[in-house]
Amino acid sequence: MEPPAANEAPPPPLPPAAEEDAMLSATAAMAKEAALAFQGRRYADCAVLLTKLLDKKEGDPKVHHNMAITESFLDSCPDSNRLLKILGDVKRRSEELACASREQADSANGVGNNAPSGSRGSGIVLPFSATHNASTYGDEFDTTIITFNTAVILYHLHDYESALSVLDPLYRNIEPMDETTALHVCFLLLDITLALQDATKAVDIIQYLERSFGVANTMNPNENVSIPQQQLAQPKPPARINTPPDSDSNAYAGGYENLSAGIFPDDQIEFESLYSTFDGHQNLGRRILNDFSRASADLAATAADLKVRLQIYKVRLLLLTRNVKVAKRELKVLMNMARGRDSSTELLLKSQLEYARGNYRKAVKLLSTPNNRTEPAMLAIFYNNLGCILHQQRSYHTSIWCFSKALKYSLSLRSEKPMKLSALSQDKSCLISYNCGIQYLMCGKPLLAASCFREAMPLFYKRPLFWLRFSECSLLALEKGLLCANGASSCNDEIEVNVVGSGQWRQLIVNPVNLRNNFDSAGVTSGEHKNLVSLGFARQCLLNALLLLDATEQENSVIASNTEDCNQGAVQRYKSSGQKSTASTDSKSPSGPTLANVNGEQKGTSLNATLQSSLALYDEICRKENLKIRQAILGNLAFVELCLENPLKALSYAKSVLQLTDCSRMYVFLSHVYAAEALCTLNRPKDAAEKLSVYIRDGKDIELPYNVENSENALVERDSDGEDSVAPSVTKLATEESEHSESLRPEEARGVLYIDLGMTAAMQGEVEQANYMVSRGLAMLPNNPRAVLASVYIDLLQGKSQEAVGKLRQCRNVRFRPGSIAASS
Amino acid sequence: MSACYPVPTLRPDERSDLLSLLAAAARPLTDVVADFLARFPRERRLRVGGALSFLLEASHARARALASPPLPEPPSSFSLACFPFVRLGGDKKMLHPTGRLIAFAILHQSYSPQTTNPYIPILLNAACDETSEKSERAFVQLLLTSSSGNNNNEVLNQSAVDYINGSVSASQDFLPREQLEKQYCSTSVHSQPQISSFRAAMVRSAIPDPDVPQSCANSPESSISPPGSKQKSASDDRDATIAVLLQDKSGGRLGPQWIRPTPPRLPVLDGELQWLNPDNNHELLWDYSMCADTSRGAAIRDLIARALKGPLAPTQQEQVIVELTKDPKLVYYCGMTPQKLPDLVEHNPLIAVEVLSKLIHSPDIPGYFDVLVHMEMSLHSMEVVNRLTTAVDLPTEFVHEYITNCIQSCQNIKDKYMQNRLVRLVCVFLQSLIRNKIINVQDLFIEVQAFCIEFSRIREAAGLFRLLKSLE
Repeated sequence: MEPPAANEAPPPPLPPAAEEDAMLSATAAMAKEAALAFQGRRYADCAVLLTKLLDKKEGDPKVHHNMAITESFLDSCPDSNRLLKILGDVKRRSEELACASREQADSANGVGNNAPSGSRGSGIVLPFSATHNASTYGDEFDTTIITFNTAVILYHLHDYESALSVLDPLYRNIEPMDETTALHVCFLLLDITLALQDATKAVDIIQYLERSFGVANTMNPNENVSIPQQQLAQPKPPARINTPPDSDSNAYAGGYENLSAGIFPDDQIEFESLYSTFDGHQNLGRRILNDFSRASADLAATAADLKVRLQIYKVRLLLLTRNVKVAKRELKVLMNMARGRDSSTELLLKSQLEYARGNYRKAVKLLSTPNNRTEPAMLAIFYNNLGCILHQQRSYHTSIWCFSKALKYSLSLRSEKPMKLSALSQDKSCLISYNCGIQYLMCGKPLLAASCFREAMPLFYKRPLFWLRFSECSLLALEKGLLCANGASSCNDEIEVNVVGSGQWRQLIVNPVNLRNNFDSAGVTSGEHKNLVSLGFARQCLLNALLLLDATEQENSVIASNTEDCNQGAVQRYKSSGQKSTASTDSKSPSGPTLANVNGEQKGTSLNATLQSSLALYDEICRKENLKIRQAILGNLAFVELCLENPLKALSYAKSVLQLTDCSRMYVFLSHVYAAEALCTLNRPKDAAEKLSVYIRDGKDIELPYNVENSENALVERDSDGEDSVAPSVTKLATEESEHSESLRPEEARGVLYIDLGMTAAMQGEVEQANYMVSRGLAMLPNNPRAVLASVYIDLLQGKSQEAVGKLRQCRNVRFRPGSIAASS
Repeated sequence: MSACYPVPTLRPDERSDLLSLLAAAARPLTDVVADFLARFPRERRLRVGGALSFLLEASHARARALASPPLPEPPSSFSLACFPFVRLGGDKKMLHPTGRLIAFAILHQSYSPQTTNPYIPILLNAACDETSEKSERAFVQLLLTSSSGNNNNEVLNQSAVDYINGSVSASQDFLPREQLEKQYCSTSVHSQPQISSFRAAMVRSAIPDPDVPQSCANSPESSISPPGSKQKSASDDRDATIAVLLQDKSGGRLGPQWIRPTPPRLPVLDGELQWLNPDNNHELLWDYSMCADTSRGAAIRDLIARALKGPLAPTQQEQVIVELTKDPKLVYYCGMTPQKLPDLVEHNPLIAVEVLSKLIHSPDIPGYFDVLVHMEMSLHSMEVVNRLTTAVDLPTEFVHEYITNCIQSCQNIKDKYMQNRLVRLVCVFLQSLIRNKIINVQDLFIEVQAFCIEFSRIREAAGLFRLLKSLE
């Protein structure tokens, strides 16, 4: 099917009224039939019907849209990009038609000012508000479903950012939407926001769902719950679903009673009569209400489903915000609700909860229980989650094995035939690749880690942490001696001493610290890795990370100020749920007692309060994490710039680390050292010495620049009321220590300070001071070839070449290499 | 750090050229220099100069290398020239005395007198080094003074061997260092501060091996014996060493050693590893509005349109309310806009209440409230607001603004009768709001109190005042 050309002719000319009516009913009947066929999953029949319909209503965007949808189900191998294009064209066409029709209506109104009720031309045109999109102009050109389907495809393609930007306008204007579609929109948006880890937005949607669908009220589900029909469960009438009036109407009726009974003195003027006439309507209103609450009882089953679904989202959200206590409580509620259902989702959530609480054994147990581990999607999930648990238990290599297995299963989904749209979204290889990359990074395999991160890029490219990790691959490669840079230490460092000449003329030439020539360094020079693992790439990654971090923090500050507005007075109801408008004219606190929604709101309010508070806690967590990420980014940048011989840039990054509030002392130390080196390179040894001398106490001693606790992260508090409550905290502690041991120990850091201070002294000609400092430093770093060489340098400076040679002989990392004479002749 | 500045090595052919030049002790120095200038193009001379100055410093045993403080003013940007000159004393030099003379001559002559010679500091040091051979000092002094005078030709016209064997040195007076420096400082370009002090602080890294057997070290060797005579193995060692030294990458220099700690990896954050959950299935939706009857709500649109022009009959009102209640979303399709609200309020306040209370979640509701606040004050508008306050949650700011507007309208009316009527209405309205706890009296106390006092002649105002007082 060809998508309707966007620049086709104007809307089809209107036939005379009588013919039109006949045709309308005929097409409407066919449309109904097609819809039934679609519901019955008879897609071939449906397509035939649609083709006929297309003959009658050429260029109708909605027919085209449904045709595209049907075809995608029919051949079950949708070319998602083609589908996206069709939907885009259809949407544009709809909007054009709506526009044309509006103009037509305007002119019609201008001439006759009559609103003929049946006619197509102006009947559907509702100039509701100029600020809104076409969806408010009536059904014919309504693009809600088209927009939704576009978002669905983008979601399946893992393009969550785009999906969000497509779907969010619908959510902002969700009130006029019928309940079924609104629910679809909300649930899809919830999945998108959870995938994007946007807790704020997810809370907003959950609160909207509870408010509008009364799902929060668990006491008497039949009373004021307006239940949507599930789309597939029963045929949906073309008209919008009639739903029982919500709690607002209840209170509305009650309010009138209140008013007529209470306020008016009997001698009042015109009021009395007016209010009394209205009393009649009030009774009428009630009658209707009763009718509908009876009907709603039939739909209780679907309401229960809805509640379970929402509860799952709630638990996932709480787990995302790391509010483990409340998550546990809500999960219990969920387990009660879901009794008798397929509970694999719940068990997975439970496993995740135990994982988050540090009860790893229990998490593994729960993870192993679901027995539908036959399909690749579930297997991928199983192995991935097992890998996460194993990582926490520090079995990195087993963890890698799990992730690789998960990756294999996940990738197998791609080759599945026939390809389904849902299979696309089940393919989580990006996420698993990220896990895998982290694991390789922890195991010291930078090249493998980098290639994993490259696979993860499509989903993670907006996260600062991802780019930091990517850059860490290059730094690790440097550390492992796979890359070389001047002045950077690696584990392969050694001093090479060339023995030149023979006999009495034999000379020893002391070379600067160098990389041991090892052959696995060839890996980096191969083209593929060269792009991903290099200092230049690391710098690029870090700059990306910095930019993204600045952007998110800016965004957060905007949201924060918005929420402040909210607290000052803008009410969400007034602003229409979720709309982040800045209109702050008038409002009322949402949690205050209100006349409407008195019954059943109580529980909702309290849970909303917990959601809000865990959101606030999560914001705090994120803020702290972002600080850690920022100092790591800036520290790494300073380091990388030094390696790339840009001392000025290195200096400025090092300075900005020092300007961070709550900067960890380890990074304070690092930035002092980096700044000092940059200053030395810039020929300012005096300033460099000044930088480093902040650590000097009592004249000549240097204090520990940091200690183990404040070097990196303080112990994370764990909710540990589980059965193995002791174990997790112990393992956590062990984790801290061992993770820390990979980096510089405080004593070594002190040694570094002595050596570097000694060097600044030497450069300023204070040989004695330099000698003292370097010898103390060497005592702390006896195995560091650079420290040895520093000491050798000082000896040479003082003309003590024999001492220098003695030190070189003792050092483990020195290699005496006979100089080649071959080339001399 | 020092590895940042490796001295480019000479090419193999350049090395052999240089070695042969240094060995040409019998040729006149002018010849050797001319040969040098011919063989090495200008851009390579800097490297050769570096190598030569390195060789000039090399010695074979127990070098007492004393670092002189870095030169106060490194004369140029040429890196090699900025090294602190290390004086060597009392040791055997790596180069033969003849080779040294040739090296000095090349260093001096490779720069024409008009340009600044970067090796002047080295030459100056050699000229004033009291520990070195007298003949060598004299030779260097001659070179240095020659650029001002013209007597250098005769020195350079001799061969190196001739010079050493000759008696020129005996007659030479040594000029004091200061005088030589004065001569050169006036012509030399001054310091270039951007040169890294890391570079400036480099030391020689070639150490004579202290473990050379004593027999070897003490083996007699004539220092003037021509090289290449192949009599002694020591001489071969020497030449070989020179050749290898020329190959050395670092140029025999070691800079200050800085330790640059690698930043730690960020520990894996909580929740950084991606835990997977099964997906919810989001299927593509069928658009049921395809070819649907678009006249939905046509009846109500019609009724609303009429309601804007005049009061509806009670049955019609009832119909509107029933329809709107039946389908809560219908209100979005009934043709209302904020601009139409005043008409609806004036003609059919009850329908207006119904519509507004259904639109309360609409994104447009601020627009409606805005219109309601700013429309002309009337019984009907007050009625609408009063009913809305009990029906739905109205934003406090809206209610406050509305009340303020009411009070202002009362004050602004000129017609006494109409004013009385409006004041009575407002009073009843306010009493209703207060009794129903829609507003907090404290928020508007002063304003309302002033209003009551202003219109205290009116019974309802007095009543309102009493109500206020009773609440205090």
